[in-house]
Amino acid sequence: MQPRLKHCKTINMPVVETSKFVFGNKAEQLYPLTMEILGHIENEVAIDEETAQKARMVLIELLTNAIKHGGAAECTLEVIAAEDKVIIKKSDIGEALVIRSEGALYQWPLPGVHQGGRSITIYGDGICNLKGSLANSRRVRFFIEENIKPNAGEIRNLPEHFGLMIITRACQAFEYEFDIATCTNNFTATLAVGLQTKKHTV
Amino acid sequence: MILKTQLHADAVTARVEIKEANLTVADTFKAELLALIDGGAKYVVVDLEKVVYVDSSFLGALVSALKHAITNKAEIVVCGLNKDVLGLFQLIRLDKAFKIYATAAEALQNH
Repeated sequence: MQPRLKHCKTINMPVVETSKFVFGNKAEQLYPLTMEILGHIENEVAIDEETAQKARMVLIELLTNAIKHGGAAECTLEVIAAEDKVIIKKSDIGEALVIRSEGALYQWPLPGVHQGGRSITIYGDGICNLKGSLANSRRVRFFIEENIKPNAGEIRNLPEHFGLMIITRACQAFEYEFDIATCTNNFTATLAVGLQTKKHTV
Repeated sequence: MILKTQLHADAVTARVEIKEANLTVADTFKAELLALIDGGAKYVVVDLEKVVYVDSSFLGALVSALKHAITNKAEIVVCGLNKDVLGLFQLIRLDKAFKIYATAAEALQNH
């Protein structure tokens, strides 16, 4: 049964504000803005060092991605720092996401209406793959598929593109969505905070 | 030039002379490393002591150079990683692909 609106008054929801930062897609702004945003996050919520380290990695890669692939003059970063998670959303109106993998070209928004539920392999080294789970023709959630072929990892099979891999491994959740209404690219990275930080086997 | 190199018998130390190892220097870094391998270096120690952070482009260049080294029966090892850079290597498991040493001296001792 749906709660009535008046019951909302009894729910003590913390007010979490969204802060916006603009990046001019210039390499010299990359690190200063990373540290500015991290400073903002640390001012809002007491994150531990591991979370701060991952937040730095994620910010650097999101900004690097904007310079390399954005094709726009600037991008916007919206940051929500809550008690249990930090959400960083990068938006721009540049070129949509394009992934070439296994002989196929994926360009967002993907064609057709039957993309939901599919998974695609983006890249891998034989031991693990970076994959994308398609929610629909506009949204993809990135995830890591571990231990595909134990002992199959060789140096010559290592990928040379690590941006999406770094963010996916550092985050609790990482996804891309192409907003058709505004022709906006949105990358959303969600980091778990503190003791709930996701541990990775290395 | 972003690498400052020094010969040690059949080994070379290559110190990265920049703080921000990002996409703006990745191509130069790769070209300089490949030139060392093509010049006959069989053991290259990439010293990252001065580096504050590395991005995916720089790591891609390093991995590309490692593949070139292996093809030429050479080896690339790294040293001087700060906590963030070491964390990044571990996060994407490049610590399995590269031998990591605390200092260039230690890397040379283990050659």
